[in-house]
Amino acid sequence: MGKSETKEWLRGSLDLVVLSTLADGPQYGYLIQKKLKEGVDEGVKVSAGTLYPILHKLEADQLIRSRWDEEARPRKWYELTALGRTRLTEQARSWTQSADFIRRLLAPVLDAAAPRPREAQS
Amino acid sequence: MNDGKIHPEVKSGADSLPANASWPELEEWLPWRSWRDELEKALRKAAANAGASPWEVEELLQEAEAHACEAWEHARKRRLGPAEAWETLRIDLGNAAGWSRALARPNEWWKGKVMRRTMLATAAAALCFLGALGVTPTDAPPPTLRTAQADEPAAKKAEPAAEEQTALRLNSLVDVDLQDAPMADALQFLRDVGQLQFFVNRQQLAGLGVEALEAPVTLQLKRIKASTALDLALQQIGGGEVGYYVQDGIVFITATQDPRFQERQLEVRVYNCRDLLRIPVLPKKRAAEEVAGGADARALADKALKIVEQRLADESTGLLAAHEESAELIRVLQSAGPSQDWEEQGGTASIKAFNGLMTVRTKPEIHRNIESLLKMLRESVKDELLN
Repeated sequence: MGKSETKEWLRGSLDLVVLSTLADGPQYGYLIQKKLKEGVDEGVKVSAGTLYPILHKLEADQLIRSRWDEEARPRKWYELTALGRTRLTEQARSWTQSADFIRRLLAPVLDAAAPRPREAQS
Repeated sequence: MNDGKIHPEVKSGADSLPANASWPELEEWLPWRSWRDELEKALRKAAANAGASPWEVEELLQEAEAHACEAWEHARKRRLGPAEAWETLRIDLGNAAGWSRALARPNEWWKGKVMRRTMLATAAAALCFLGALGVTPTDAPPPTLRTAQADEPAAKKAEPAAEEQTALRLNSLVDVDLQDAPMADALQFLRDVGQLQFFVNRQQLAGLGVEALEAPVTLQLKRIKASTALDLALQQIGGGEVGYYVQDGIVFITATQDPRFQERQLEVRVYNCRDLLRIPVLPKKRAAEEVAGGADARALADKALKIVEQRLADESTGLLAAHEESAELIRVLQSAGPSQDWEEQGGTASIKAFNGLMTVRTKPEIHRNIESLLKMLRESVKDELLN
């Protein structure tokens, strides 16, 4: 699968992708963006203009919460709520099941396409 | 210009930025300021279209700045030149249209598990408002050009000012069910339920050490005015040091020490208290009434003169008594508010008496106390007369 296709898939599930970046604990916007950029292969470049509306929507849906930290430099930290963690687990399970199903479905296609040893010798 | 896109002309001038410029230097740099202004314009436009509140715009602007600061510092660590760093930053930030989407979503999240609402009163208020505007009967003839022109100013007059609309909305009844919810949620709820727009003056509140939007609020009350809900919530986050005022239809939340807040608190009302005071009737009229019907002109004139002299003496006493009574009533009315509020004690509130009319300049809540006090006084007088 091409990298551009992977990115398209991820873009279609950005809510889930963003939620997953918070699985290990609170993050602020720039860190989330960096995490996405440095994710799979070349990662997904998500601009702040795309990221913050998603974060606000997730917060409005009460899947995440935020707080400002004015200590050194102003940072708005986002973290999963209990509801958000449940939703993330559910969606991760659902995605993995779908991926397994597609993998099983596509396995024969890949097998058929793979060169056989005898054909390779001739 | 304000089409939701970040324009490329802000790229120009990157050379003018010192190499390895710090964030504060970038903040003062024209291209950054232009970008930020463009973003602010786009956000305000989107907020106006979506009915979002100004504090949401402020929140997003602060997030954009915080993000830019992080990205810039990161670019500096990578030792990028100013032009390259700026270009990277702009790509990182994206365009204003994307940011505006944060304000375009429907804000109905509160319909979920945490909060409920009753908007019967709002609906009633809306009906009253529509009634006040008047409804054209469907079978009425279409207005001619002249009538249409004549009606136009009337329609404009009938449309209540933004502050009146906000006052109506603040008076609407709501059910509030908040359990340790951040103040931001409480405001979001009131914004959605009461169609109110809020602006939180974070700078003023920071001076009080109040984390206004994060502070927890617990409020579980049914059918209370939105204004009462707001008062109670603010009481919880600021213990009386945080208040609100309405300006241009926006509810501004700020410290009660904020001069703009204090200016807005004083309201002038005139109370007719003549029924509580013995206001003298002009003597000449009485005299004329008493001598009316007399036959002899000379005797009439003498009698009139005596009556007038007597009345003038009586009325001087009466005026003095009325003045004393007015002064006494002023002291009674002042008991409706804290003594330090009144100008005699160095405050800004005042009461002036003129011919039984009390002109009172004070806070709305003190006006409410004065209304109650006058009602009680009148009831006492009525009881006295009946008994």
